[in-house]
Amino acid sequence: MADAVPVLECRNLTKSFGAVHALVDVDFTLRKGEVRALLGKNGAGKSTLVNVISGSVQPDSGQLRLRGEDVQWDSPGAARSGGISVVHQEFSLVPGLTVAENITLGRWPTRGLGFIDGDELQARAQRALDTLGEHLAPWEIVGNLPIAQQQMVEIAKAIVDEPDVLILDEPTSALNASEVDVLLALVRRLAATGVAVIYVSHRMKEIPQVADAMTIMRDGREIATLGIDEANPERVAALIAGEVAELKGMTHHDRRNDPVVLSVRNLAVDGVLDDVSFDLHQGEVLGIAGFLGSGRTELLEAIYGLRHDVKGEVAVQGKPVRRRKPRKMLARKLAMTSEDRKRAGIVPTLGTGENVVLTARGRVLPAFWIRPGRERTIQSDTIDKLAIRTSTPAQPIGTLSGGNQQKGVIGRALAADMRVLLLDEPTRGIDIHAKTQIYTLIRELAETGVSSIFVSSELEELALVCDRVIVLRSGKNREELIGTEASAERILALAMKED
Amino acid sequence: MATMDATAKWRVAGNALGSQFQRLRSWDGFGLLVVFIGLYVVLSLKSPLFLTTKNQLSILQSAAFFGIVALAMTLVIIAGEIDISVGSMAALSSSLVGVFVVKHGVPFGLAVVLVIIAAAAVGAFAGAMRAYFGVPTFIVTLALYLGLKGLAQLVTNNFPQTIPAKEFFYWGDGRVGPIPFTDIEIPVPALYFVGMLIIIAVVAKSTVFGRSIYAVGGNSKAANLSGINVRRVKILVMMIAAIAAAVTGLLHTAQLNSGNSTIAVGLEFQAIAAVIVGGAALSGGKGTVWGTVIGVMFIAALLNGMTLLSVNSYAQQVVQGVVVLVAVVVNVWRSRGTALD
Repeated sequence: MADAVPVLECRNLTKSFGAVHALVDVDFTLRKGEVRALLGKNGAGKSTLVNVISGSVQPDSGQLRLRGEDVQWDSPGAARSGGISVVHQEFSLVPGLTVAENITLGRWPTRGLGFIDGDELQARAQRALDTLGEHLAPWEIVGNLPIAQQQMVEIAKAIVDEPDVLILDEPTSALNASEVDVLLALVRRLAATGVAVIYVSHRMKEIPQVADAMTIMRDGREIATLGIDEANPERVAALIAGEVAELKGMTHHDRRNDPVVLSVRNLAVDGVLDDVSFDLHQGEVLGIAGFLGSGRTELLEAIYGLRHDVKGEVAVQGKPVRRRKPRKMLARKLAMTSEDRKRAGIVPTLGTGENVVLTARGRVLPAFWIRPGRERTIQSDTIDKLAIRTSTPAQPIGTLSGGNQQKGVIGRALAADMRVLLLDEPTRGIDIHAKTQIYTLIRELAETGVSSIFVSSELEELALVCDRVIVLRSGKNREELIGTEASAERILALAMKED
Repeated sequence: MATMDATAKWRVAGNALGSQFQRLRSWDGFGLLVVFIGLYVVLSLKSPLFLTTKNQLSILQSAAFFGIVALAMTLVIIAGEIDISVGSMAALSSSLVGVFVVKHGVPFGLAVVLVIIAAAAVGAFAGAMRAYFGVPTFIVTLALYLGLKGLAQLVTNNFPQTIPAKEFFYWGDGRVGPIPFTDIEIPVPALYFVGMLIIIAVVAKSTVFGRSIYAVGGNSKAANLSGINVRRVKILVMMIAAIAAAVTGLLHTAQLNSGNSTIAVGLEFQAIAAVIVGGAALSGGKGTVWGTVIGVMFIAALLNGMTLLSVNSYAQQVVQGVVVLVAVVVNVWRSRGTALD
């Protein structure tokens, strides 16, 4: 029999970030010893829900109840003391410290006067490791451990304070098959001791092995909570994808008989990409679909010459390009925009106009002297054409909204007269209005003969914008969907397929 | 009507002047300019000698001895790098020119050219270590700081190499003039400083290379994806800094009339301090040549003024330290106000 009072109860949780509704009226209940899978696309609200429960985000409204009592976290530390631990997708370990020091990180026992109690520290860490059944030396330096063992340290760190609720965010994304089995068994064992687990994952195969039930989220809402035996893959996929909004005026073309502008043959990167081949045609928008870790970004990096461990061939306009690097690709009128706009896209301190002409210099603009007049023309033309909202071209691009920053990054390629664009998640983190503008822009460019590769984890936008979609799974291009075949449901089903 | 026109004209002119002033006020270096002018007012009130032509020229001359390096250092710091080996580089170039001329009888002009080439090579080395091996320039130039200093002492055996050439003295420590109808004679080092200022200002403002420095320092990943040759930019700025250091070493040599391995102690500190006071961010991507010019003049005037007021020379160092610290705090505080984070 389940306990009468749930361990965790969320009522009407609502959270908005600006115009984006990340959580809308979400109810979520978790019982002792239960493993609940949490599913949804990127941006469905999974992370926000997890963040609210674990105290790193404050909800706008709604209640959070732990063991029947109302709680309010003002920091992740408070949630942790209250009995909620999170294992984040990215490791939060200090590589230079030992296993024991990492497990007890931030709450090291002292003997007073700030001297660390080494024996107590070791003992606590050992207890956590024993609970996991892990035979790891507590004095080992974490940085020297393989990834799977680091993941175990991460989990040990989360359970060292014996939480009531343990949240695992994509815990298997860095693990191989046998390591995944170990981890799933471990989660079951923890649940048997009474810990309630929230298990965030997109790997459909593991969920029946580990979860008792699943909650599916879409557009910030809780769509359905199903017992594991009621959930068949088709139903789940349909619930995750939802209905697809139609965007007016988007006409797709089959460009497969047009000239090939970029041809990729047998591209491989050890452990990431495995024998990827395709052609991109003039005026075509080619979507690349696949989950995190499927090799999407690595594929673009391999084409653009940002990796040195690439095998296989890339040809632009029929001419093979060896020893690729960005400058060489730009000389062949091919440009890439990074998914990480802040870190690799914009130069935040420089003006918007200045950002726009960075690539143009030395290409359509002279290579040595600055020609202020011509630069001004190109800057304001591009800013007008892409409707970038900035007070003056001199306004630092770092002060603009994400959507306008992204337009600036694309504008940089256009100002330099690029013919092939590799766009990695061009709509990440921007609002719906700006997204629509970017879609329209890509389609308009296609009409003028500019070809794009459009990488996105939002399947609807791939279906909306692309003439053709390639699905990547574990580093291989598996399927190709043409035109209207490429519906969000089809793409999702293929991306989730287990080989 | 005529009067109306005149008033309207004045109003237009007034507005134009007003908007010019608005632009000046919104300039990053405006606060610094105000502080600089304040310093001038205070010092000229305290000491009657301060505002004399002779004293101002002497400030300009002493400014040249670290200002040339500070200008080059501005580019290095905007690129997100640092060069702490400039003092040792200056000492080495002084030593080398002395040894070439005195011990090996190399013609003076050729010796200067050789020294500049050597400096460029050292700078290229430091830049290449950064660009190709990822060694932080702080570490590379820390090694060079020790290594070049040692090399300078090694080649000279730590003895001054007295150079007999008279004209050399003129090129380094002479005066040009007098300027017609006055008795003002401009010190030659000040001319080098102004020359360097023009070159660096033009490079920073009007060349693709100069603009690329800002992009590389502001976000080197984005710069690389945009097709900017990040490695070349880094190597070139380190070369420019090393050459500026060598020129400064040659100026010292001329002033002392000998190649000397003990000169230019603390040059790196004064140069970096001037750049920081001038508003550049050590994290890169931000800074102006004009800010540095004011920074250089500020420090030179401050030191000159304190000497005129016979402030203890150790106390002067304390004041310099405080000035740099305050400048950094002001910079950090000001950049927090922007939405960039």
